[in-house]
Amino acid sequence: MSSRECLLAYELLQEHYGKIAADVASFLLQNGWQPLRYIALKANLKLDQVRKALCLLIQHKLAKFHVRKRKIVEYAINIENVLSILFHPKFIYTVKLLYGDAAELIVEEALQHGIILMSTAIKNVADRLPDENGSGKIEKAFKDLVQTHFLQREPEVEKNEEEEYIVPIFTQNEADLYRLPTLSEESLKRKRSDDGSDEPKAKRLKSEHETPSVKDDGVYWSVNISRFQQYFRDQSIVASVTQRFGTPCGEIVRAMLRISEVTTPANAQSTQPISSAEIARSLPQKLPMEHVEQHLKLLSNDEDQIVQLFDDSGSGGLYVVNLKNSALALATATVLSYVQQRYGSKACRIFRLLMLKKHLEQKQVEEFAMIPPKEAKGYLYHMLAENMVIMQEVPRTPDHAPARTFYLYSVNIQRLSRILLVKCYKTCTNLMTRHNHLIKTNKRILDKEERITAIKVRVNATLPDADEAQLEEIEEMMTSSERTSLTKHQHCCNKLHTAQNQLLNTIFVLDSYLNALSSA
Amino acid sequence: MQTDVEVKQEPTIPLTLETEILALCNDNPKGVSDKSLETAVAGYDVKQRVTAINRLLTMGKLELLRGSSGLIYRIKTPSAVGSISGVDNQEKLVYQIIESAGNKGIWTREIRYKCNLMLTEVNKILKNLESKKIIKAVKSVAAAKRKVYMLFNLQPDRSVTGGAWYSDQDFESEFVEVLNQQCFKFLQQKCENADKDTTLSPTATNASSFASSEEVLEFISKLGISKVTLSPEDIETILNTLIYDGKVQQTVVPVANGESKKLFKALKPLIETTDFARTPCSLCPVFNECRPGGEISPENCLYMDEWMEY
Repeated sequence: MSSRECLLAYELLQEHYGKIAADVASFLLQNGWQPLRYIALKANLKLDQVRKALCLLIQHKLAKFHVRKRKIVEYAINIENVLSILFHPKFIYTVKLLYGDAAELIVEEALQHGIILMSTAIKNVADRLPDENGSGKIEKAFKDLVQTHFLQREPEVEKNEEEEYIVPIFTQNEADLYRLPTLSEESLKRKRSDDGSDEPKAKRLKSEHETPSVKDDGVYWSVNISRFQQYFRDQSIVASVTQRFGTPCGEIVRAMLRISEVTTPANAQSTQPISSAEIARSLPQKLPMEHVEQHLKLLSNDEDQIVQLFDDSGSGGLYVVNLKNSALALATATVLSYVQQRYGSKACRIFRLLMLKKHLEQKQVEEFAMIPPKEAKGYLYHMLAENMVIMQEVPRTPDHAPARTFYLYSVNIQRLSRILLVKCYKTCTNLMTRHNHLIKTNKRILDKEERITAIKVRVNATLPDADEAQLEEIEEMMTSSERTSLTKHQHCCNKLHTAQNQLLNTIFVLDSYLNALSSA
Repeated sequence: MQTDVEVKQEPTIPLTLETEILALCNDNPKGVSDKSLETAVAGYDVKQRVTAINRLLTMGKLELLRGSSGLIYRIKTPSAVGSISGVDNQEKLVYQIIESAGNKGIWTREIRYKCNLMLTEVNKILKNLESKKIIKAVKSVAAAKRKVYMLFNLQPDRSVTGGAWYSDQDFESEFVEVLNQQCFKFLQQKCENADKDTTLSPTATNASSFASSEEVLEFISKLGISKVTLSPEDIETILNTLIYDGKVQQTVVPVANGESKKLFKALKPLIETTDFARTPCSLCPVFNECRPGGEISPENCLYMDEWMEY
């Protein structure tokens, strides 16, 4: 919860939900749990505006509420969910690759609404897809998503008769998390009121609605973010194993992760033990059994210990994928790659040397790294100045005389990944700021472009046989230099967006490593 | 008159004493301890013995060492005797001290401690000896400003010159770099050959992509890029730097005669370049001062301008 994260959250919310929601959120981030009136007072906003903003944030699961001292309702922001707004495009793309267009649209709808009824989702997607028999396919896609846990059911409001409760109490069984309601064809065509908000309005109870009840009324679904994160984590592990050990080993690890997809909780340290026979059975390209066993043995002998031998029992031995170790290995590789890019490969050698040997004096560093002493000193002090490397003084005399003190250098990966993560957040904010700035500077040209497109559409609609001359005239409203600056602007925007998306990968790796540390 | 006779008589006695002592030392080339000398020339008194020994020492026929059980006298080989002709006592003393340091050399301060002479005198003597080309100064690698002195015809020890990586006290970084790359290429090639051979099982492929330090040494010597002959320990230091580069991994395996051997294998990186490093912000030297709306900000960032050009 650093200030960088708060700034990034502010930018994101401003971009997606507007300035008022962003202001409310930033106030809550700075001050923790706050009641409604207090927010309105301190943030200089009208009560109504704050109320609506909070509605919006809670609907999208970005804010949460609780009761204090039985009278006061307080609100706070869920910062992880805000930052995962960055990952929404990636979610949609992943689902598209896995399950096709219908599923992609379902997830898009779910992300847009925050929480959504199954029937609403299917209806909206059916409207968007041109396919006639679409609803069957869409329903099937929805079921697939639920079965593989990409969508989850929201807790239901407990029905209570008393007036004592100010806020709705939510209940949910473990078993109900992914239970589908039965849905008939008719219910898809019926209209219903969008009853999504559970927001308490001062101290009034919710009034009963008169619309015809649908079978799945009150059963809301939302995107299961941790499942997506699990999926991304699996992808990155498989990619790195394939890079280092080759395709067969990558396939084996992928099979292992697929088997334990739904059985392993999100923050477990390692997967369930899987026997090598089971792995060999579930490989897409069959390899001979001895090869599979040998690959597993090779993987478990590696010093990073991504795959570990759990036990020798069971046919061929039981293996687990150690998720904590793989998070550490990936985070270390990220940090090393950053050091290499920024300071050079010789500095990277010094860095890795310090990582392996834990603590070294300056002279020893020069000796082991085989780098000329002057250069080695330069790199070491440069990294020290930017906090990549830590120095510890070990005095020999009580007066800490420099000539008689040991100066030991060392490296702390945990600290460094936190520093790097904050830098990534700042970079993300910078990219977004630059993007906004570009749009502002090129506003004139963009507006003109919009106007021209609008005119073209109107002309084409009203006069279907518009002649060439008229169309050309419209085209010429834009001069060539303006056209070039427009293409340049689009190119820059593309580049910024691509960089932002790529940055997400790094953010994800570092974030999952820090989460693995804190949950251990 | 009588004193004359006495004086005359004395030289003869010491002369015979000297020859006796010399003969004794010749018989025991390893050296004669003070005690055994005493018993051997029991006929003469202490003063005469001491004078005789002093004379022999001055003439350079004998040399004095300190053994575990007292003083030892040893006969000096003729060549060494000849080399220091024309020098006086103090220089001889200094020379002996330097000689005793062998091929590690000795520092001026230590010479001073051992012979208790003044700094200026020691310096003068050292200059003298150097001009006569009897001793030489060698720059030490460990402390760049210190000079150690040793006999002219001795080879300086590895610890002083730094061994194969230093030529004239200069660290040969290009040499190390070239060796680094060659070793890595050899290991990479071995790995690729092992991968290409598809008939082998995975364990065998893995095993055949390892190389020992002797194999690498053989390859490097065949390449002939090194003027100096390298030892296995030298190659191991180079391979260690490759481990620190993250390009090579090391395992230890037990070998037939009960010892263990180190094996090395080329390693592929775990990930490609991290995506954070593709943004200009990661390489920006003023990253910490950058603030939206400030003097240095994303809006007017020059690095971003350049980056968006292509």
